[in-house]
Amino acid sequence: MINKICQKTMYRSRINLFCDYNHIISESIPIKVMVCPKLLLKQRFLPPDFDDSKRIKIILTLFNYEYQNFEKLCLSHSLEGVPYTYLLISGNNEFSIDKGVLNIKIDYLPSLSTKSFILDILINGSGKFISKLVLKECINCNPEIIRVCECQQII
Amino acid sequence: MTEANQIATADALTLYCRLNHGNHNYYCGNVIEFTVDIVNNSPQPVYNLIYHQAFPDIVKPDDNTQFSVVTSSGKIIYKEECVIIAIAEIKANDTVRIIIKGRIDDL
Repeated sequence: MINKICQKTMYRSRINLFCDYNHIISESIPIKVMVCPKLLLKQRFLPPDFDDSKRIKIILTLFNYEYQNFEKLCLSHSLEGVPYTYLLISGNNEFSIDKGVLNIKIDYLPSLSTKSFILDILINGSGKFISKLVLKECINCNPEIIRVCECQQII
Repeated sequence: MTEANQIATADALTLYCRLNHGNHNYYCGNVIEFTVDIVNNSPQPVYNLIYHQAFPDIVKPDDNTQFSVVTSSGKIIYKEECVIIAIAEIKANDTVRIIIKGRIDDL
């Protein structure tokens, strides 16, 4: 039995119809809700350097607001809209870059804790871009998305 | 929006309900919209109806106080924790449509 972080839970809305005070119809409507824990993502762009505006820094933060530890998480980051290169990833976690997507491995996230990573990125172009951050959990090596956070910036 | 499901029949009345997510699958923060049709199949009018819909705790009013409710007939009596509508009459072979909008609470 695999315990997934996000659980699909069934709820019901009940409809009753009365005619002349007589109860004539009673039915329930099923509603399935994917309930995820309070693992929140934030991104913050740091002001660009005066001498090199193509070099941007982004602080990624993961907040665990639950009284529960989490294991085998993966934080993926990518930019959409401009070509880019990761220059430096600060933080103690293992990471890999696959087809332009940065994957940071989080083996253990304690309850009520945060983790932050600072990305140093060289932008090879200009215009509007989207910084996309996705938190996934790994179940039998199949990633399942828990949260997504997107931010837009112009360079 | 998918085809409405007939969910119940009593005497001359049939109740249909459909959700804005046809597969009934939602994530926290999603808008949920119930479209309910009460159909009078008979050649006689039906009088004095009370419609009552209760919601699970996870379904909240869109603005946190009241559900958004639109009805083609009748009077909305209450729309906070539940929705109550009084319908004086549904004419022969006529339909009353009720649209209720809420939100899946972000836990």
